[in-house]
Amino acid sequence: MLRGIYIAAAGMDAEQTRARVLANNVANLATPGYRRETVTFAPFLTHALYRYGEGPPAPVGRHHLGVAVAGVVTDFSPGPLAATGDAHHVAIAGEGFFAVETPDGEAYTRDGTFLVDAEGYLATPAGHRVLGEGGPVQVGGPFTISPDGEVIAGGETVATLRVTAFDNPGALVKVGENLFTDPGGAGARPAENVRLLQGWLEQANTDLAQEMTDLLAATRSYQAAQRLVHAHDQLLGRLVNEVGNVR
Amino acid sequence: MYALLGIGRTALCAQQVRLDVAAHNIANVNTTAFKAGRPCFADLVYGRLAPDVVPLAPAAGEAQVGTGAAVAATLRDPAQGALLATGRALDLAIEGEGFFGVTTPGGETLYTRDGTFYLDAAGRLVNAAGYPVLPEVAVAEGGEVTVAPDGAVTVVNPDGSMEEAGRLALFTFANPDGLEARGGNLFAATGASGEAREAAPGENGAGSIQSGRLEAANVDLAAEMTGLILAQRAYQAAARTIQAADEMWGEANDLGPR
Repeated sequence: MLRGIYIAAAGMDAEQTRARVLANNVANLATPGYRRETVTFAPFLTHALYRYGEGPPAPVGRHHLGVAVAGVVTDFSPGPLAATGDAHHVAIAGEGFFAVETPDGEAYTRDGTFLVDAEGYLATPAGHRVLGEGGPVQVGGPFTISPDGEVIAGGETVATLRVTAFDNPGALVKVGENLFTDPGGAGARPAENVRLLQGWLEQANTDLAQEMTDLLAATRSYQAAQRLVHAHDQLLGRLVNEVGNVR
Repeated sequence: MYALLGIGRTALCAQQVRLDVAAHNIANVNTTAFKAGRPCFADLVYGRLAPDVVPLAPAAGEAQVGTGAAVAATLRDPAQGALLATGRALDLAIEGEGFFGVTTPGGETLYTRDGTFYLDAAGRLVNAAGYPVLPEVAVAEGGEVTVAPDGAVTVVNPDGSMEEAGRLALFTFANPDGLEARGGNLFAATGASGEAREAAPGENGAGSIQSGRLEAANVDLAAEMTGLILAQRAYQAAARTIQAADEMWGEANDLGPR
């Protein structure tokens, strides 16, 4: 009976994590280049059932002691591109990420909101410099970016932006500020068939209808699991108070 | 549950800023040389799921959960505003990059693209607030003043003789987004904007000066209104996640002894 209470409670915990991930997707509805996440669940603590009787114990099947979060998976499908007409904005049409320099090493982003910092380098709003083929890109003032990634400032091509694609993007880790890092194993390589669009910005790939439906499912599953805890509680109550009562 | 509520709260705050910026843009649709603000959103740090709090399957060792969104910065749209003809010789618009410089009574140099200038009692060229324009240009009384695209201020005296009274300069910045808005269409240089670089109009990347015109705000009302709708709906969606957290919390409370 106690086991049932724990199984139902594990369900509540798992649904709560799902709701957190969904809420984060909704919160980042307006975050450029945000990649939505989904939670996957797996059965928790599988154990085998044996029949004991005559002869050696024989397996009769398995059962699980509830549910657990198996992983939070990032969905790397591209988001819609929106025309902003703002020269600060660059979108990647196709695969890959912009590379930026952070104090903790190189990071990657699909958010092409760039400005020129006080020293004239192309940078993100958080102040991380954007990397070209030859390191940080110094433009010194207004800049234009050609579809093949050439950065043009003052009438001259000053650099070519680096667009990095990954063979295994699932290995990338999110670190906030719209950045991903590669802890190793993502398989970085130069992106192919990429076009850069200035005056465009890639939106989040959050699918609001999906998030809201899933959120509804998460709250209701949470409720159902809560009812199960109640049901087990009532059964326990009976067991404790009524079994053995001879009146 | 606190985490879930917290995520919803960050989203409400971020969308609130977006609404504020849109409202500010719309309010300034008739402000001379106003540049529309654009909030930039970013996701917040990610945390690892703690196995002692949430049951995790063995494969979930690296599972990360986010903590919401925030406004990373508000950039100003650098697009040129429309140049509106006013017919007044001392209405100056900058076509291209750069700012006029003015000196406050406190001796501070501020920068503006609003070229609504006047002559004060001493014949100095000043802005609407009475701050003298840099470099100071003084005009003797009685003459008609013209300003050339290269910033040369010429006075045509009543007897027809022409006299150059001075030459206006423009100031450019590596990062105009880093300028601090001081109100009254004035900006101050900061460490983020970089040092002001003085340039003659039309040279070194600075724009040219158009006399008899003013630069309109570059606010696109249709875009602002669409943005307002998006912000409002995103705000609503964030409020729904808070409602979901509330409902779940209610269910959890219901587990307790009664």
